[in-house]
Amino acid sequence: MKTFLNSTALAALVLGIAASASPVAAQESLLFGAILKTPANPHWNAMSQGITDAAEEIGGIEVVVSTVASEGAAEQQLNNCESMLLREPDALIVGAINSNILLPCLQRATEQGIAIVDLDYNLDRVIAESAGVEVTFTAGNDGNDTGGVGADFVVEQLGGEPSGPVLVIEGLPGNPVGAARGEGFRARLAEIAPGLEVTTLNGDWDRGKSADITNDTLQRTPDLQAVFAANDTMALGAAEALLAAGHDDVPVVGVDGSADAIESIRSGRLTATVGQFPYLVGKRSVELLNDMIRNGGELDTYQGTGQSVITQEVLEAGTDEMIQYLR
Amino acid sequence: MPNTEAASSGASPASAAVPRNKGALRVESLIVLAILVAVMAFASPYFFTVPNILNVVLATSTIGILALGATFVIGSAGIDLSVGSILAFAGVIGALVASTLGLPWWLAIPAAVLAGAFAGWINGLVITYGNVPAFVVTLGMMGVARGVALLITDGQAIYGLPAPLIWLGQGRPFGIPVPALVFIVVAIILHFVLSYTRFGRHTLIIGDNERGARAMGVPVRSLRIKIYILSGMMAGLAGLLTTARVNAGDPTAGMTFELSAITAAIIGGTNLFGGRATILGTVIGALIMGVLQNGLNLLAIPSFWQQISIGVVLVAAVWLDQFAKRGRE
Repeated sequence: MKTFLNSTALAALVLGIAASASPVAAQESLLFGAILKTPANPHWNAMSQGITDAAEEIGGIEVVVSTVASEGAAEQQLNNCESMLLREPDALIVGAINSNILLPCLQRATEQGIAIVDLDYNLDRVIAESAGVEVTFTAGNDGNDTGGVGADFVVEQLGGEPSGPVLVIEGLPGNPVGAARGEGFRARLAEIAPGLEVTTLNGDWDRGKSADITNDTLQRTPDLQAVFAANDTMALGAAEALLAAGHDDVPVVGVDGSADAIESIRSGRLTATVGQFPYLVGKRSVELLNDMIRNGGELDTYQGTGQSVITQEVLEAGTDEMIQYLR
Repeated sequence: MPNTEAASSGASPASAAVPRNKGALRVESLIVLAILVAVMAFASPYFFTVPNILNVVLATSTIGILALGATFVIGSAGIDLSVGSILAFAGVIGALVASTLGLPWWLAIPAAVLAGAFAGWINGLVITYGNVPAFVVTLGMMGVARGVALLITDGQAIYGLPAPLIWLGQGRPFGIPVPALVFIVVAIILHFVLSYTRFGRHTLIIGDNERGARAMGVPVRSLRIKIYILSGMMAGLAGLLTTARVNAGDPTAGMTFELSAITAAIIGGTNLFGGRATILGTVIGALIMGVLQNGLNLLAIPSFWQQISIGVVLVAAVWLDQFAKRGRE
């Protein structure tokens, strides 16, 4: 039994190598391995849905999705990546937990000529290149741009020449995505509304912690003008804390467009979110990969997938065509 | 450490009640809290105001309620690592009942508390009848309760609760946030339970010397089960309040809260090896952590420092205690 298994595994391996060595014909099936974070985060759930839906729509693509138990399970993700390589995929679609844990695995993927898609700017290009990892393209939106969009919206909401304190809630300390969104927000704000004074604190992506931070900030600055949080979960915590404290006029802006954020915006609690449309990020990744592998050609290494501010008005009007990609 | 003297001398001396000083408040933690409050009041003009103090109690209430349960568990020489996960599990159950199932909103209260009590009951049963160490059982429950919470919600937070339920987390009767009020009331009740009832006395006796307690006829098994049910109930209550406060049953809520609860109890003078615990001490321990977090937020100091300072205060509080004990001896 054991030898039988071994030999079939070996045969599969040999066949796999043979398949990937020859140029891909149109009728041949492609294998994409998705290495994602935890499905407990709706963002990655939507991403995963976009990936599998696109594969189904296009046809001739097999997708294997692997996920991990929690946001911090970096080692588990490396194991997932290693076992994914054994399947000899044509491409890896990667939402890395941090910018270094997957590098040894991705380096071998690069050596084997496997295309690598970085979702959401989770891989640091400079570090990746120095480790011998070639990223085919990054799909998603640059956190700096996202923060800028948030700042534009906040200033538009406040109107005139706003002044006073603004709270920025970033994610876990050291997380590049949260930091980039905060940085982009601050930079843009300094440009267009220098009268606003920014305080930045870490909400650790946590609802309750962000509620506490907001409460504490209200003590220090009861004239708080606005809150920008690096994701929806934290924005929702901040919004509920503001409502409880009777400050329902303070606009709160999150990032993502998760289902509960949309519901909260509909019911007039959360002001807005800078929608990232993870479903679309996953979908576009598969479409672009499929096109590139089957038809050849060069791709721009950064593929923006679009973002837009979602407010109660936008939802009611229903004219923004991006809304269809909300999950 | 368990009282080896009593254990070695057999059954009869164990009938002596818990020595009086074991129920006494440790003054050191009160001093630490006073110093912290003074420092924060000096550093930030916003700190020492009535709204901010209520705010500290509100922020402390979740960890505080968990720590009240932990006081009994650790006081009985046990440990409960599952309360953070039970908090999420019970919170999700509460949101499910009131929101998804559309049942009357008030049913969420017994549902969440009973869900917590149920998980605690399982903990207690396996620990006592299965003879499995509490550390292992509750470590297992930490995974199971979290997993079940994620499973029944498919990993997504249940957002949007009925208004009266939200009031439980966000309401401020007479300006006092409801969770803070609940924390204070439960703390007062449990103070009386620990100090003046047989259940409370027995809890500390089995923590001090289980064999002796058994010899004097304390029903150790059923007592332990009750203690873990109490701990689970506190987690359920805390879960309900957090859910109400953020208007969502979040299966990822309460990560690592079990460690914060244990930290609060120990800063407050609970002996990690059982036999000594006070509710007032635990409340002070939880407030020390709350004041640190609040003060550093007021000063806009990055959260790295919050973790460092809480770690330092934990070790310092226990060290101060050892120091004082040596002085007394």
